[in-house]
Amino acid sequence: MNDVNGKQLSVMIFFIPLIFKMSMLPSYLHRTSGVDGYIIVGLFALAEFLQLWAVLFVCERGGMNGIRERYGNVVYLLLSCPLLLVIGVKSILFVTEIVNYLTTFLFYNVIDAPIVLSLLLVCFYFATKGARSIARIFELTLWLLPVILLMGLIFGETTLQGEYLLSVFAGGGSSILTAIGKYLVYTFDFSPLLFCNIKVKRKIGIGIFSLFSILVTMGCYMLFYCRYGRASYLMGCAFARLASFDTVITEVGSLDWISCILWVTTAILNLSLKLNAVAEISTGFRLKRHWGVGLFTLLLAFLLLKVWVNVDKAFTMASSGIQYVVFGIEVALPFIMIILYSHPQKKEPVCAVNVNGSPR
Amino acid sequence: MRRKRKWIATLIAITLFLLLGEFLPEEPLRSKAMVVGFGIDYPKDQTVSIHLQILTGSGNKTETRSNTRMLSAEGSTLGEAAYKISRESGLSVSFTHCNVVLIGESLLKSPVLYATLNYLVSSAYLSDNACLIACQGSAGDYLSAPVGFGENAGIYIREIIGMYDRFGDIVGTTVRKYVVDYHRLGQTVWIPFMTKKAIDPIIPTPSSDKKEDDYLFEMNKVAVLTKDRFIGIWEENGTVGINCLLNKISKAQFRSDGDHGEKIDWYVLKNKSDLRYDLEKKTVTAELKLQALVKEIIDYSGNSAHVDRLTVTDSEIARLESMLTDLITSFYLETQSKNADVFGFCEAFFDRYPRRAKDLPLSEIKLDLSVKVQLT
Repeated sequence: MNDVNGKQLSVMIFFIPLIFKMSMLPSYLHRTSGVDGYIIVGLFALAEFLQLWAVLFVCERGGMNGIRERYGNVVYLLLSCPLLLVIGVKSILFVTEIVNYLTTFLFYNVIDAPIVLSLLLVCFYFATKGARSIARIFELTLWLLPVILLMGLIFGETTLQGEYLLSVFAGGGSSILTAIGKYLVYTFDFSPLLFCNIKVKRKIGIGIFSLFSILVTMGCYMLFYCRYGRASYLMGCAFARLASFDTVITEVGSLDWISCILWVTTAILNLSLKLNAVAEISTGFRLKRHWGVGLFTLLLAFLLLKVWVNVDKAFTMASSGIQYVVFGIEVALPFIMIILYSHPQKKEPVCAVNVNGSPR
Repeated sequence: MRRKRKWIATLIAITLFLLLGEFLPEEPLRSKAMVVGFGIDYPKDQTVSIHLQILTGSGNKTETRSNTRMLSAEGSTLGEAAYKISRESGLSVSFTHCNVVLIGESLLKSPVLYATLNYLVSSAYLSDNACLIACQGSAGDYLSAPVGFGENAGIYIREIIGMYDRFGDIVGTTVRKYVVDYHRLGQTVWIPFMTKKAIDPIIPTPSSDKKEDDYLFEMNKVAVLTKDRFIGIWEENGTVGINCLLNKISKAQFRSDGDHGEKIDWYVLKNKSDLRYDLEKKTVTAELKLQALVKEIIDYSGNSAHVDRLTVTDSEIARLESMLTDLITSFYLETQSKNADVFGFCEAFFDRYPRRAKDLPLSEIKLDLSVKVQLT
């Protein structure tokens, strides 16, 4: 159910850090750090991949399930329960971002509730199907990227002002600290992979896709800032705006609809992967996977409909002090697991066997 | 076997879609007012007036010949005015196919232009790549005008301004570019400025009745604004200056005098501008290269010797270069004297020298322009 092969993993690690950095974050970063944003997001992505290698190292040794087998259910729950907080905080922020995206680009003037519920229902379904199904859809979705680029090359009319990117760190490097203080919650998203059974034959592919992801993230930010200059802080839903390739809606239709499909699909898959982790954690409480993820999704729906009802409120919550807790858990968990795995396993008591094959 | 089933299922789905597609409900499109041209005026304080050119669909004989209808409404916000139109027409207004935004003179010269247009970019109801054009008088008059060519005013404007091309004396801009330029350091924006002139209607037959005049739109002017202040309207020197230095020209025609007073018409195929910024000298060195060919020579003195030739002299090329240099430089100096940074020099200096050039005043920046014409 949670088996992921190397090819699927490569696609996932390309998309996971990219998706939610390509919606509201470009404008948020520009607001606080100006054009330095594209360097900062590159640094974020770089640090994120350091976490990925730690996660993969743990997964090679058995991941979370391996810990349960070695140390029992209590240690498994002690390690995995803090992730519920991480997944909860990030899911609240990311669901509101998806809703904001949909209500800005696809449906105008509609109330959020049906969208929130539909989204969570889809995420619930994917989560119950397991990481293998999610990874497979990620794999299929990847093919939309060349379609977007091809359409852009054929019909695009993009004019870019490269000089907007020149004035980096005009105010010194303080913008990096400001950005870390506000947008840390958008980074370090790989911990749900700890629940996957990853089979990687060659790590070179993962290295290439990691680098590719960092470059694409930075590249998208650079294109975005070249296009919107100092007005970048006004523009949400960056990916859809970029993918219109400066065309107007003509006989060929609107170019950005493919990007809408890609972004919404990958965002849902990213959330589903998080909920899949919740499903796995719930098994530690002797709950069936679908019951665990179902209860979590219901709680999420309640919070999204009653407490953090829009992207601004969710962002205020997620960028408060809680982001440091989230960050701490995300970073510490794989390293704690590495330490646990490095501890030599207790040898099983060996029964002396007599020559007839029965214990003495 | 499984693959075969999938192929069969896909083929059945496609066949059904093709055969039964005509039975799909058409109501959603009919219940929408598809806006193809959007005009905004500022008739009185704290009131905007919007004009929507709405596609009515073909086949209805009672509609206008262009299959479009124009509806107008006033409100204190664009949304309020659009809602009035929606309520009166019983249709939901959709801007997704609107590619032209026309600004009336009253709004152009008011201090609320940015505030009005900003909403269009940030809300994403309308493509931020929609063409932005200012016009003399009311935007509504242009959108409702019977045009000489093209199906309706919105489409006609798009054809003139060129969806993908920029002509020598027609500058094009978009809603997005307006907002982006507004946030540059110089906070100066330019918008093509349009006027209209009446032409005779389609040549009448003896039996036909006299019809109203049709209109042609001229777009060879440019309006310049800084922040919320209207600076002025320029003709050829403004449009040529902006297009040559900032844009990629696809077609341009210039006229200069020959050695003997003959008139030479040049056709520009390509332009390339290279701008270098020297902070010490506070100078922008601009090199403009034009690839051109001689299109036509007329000598009104009647001397055929000046006309019957296949090439031009170096001095004639130099004359064109000098003419363009003067044209562009005069535009720069005029706008500079009004503290309007049309070419974005303040921003460009800051981008290159972020610490030292932040407060460099436009009045101190010199433009050293050289134009080179290369014959093809």
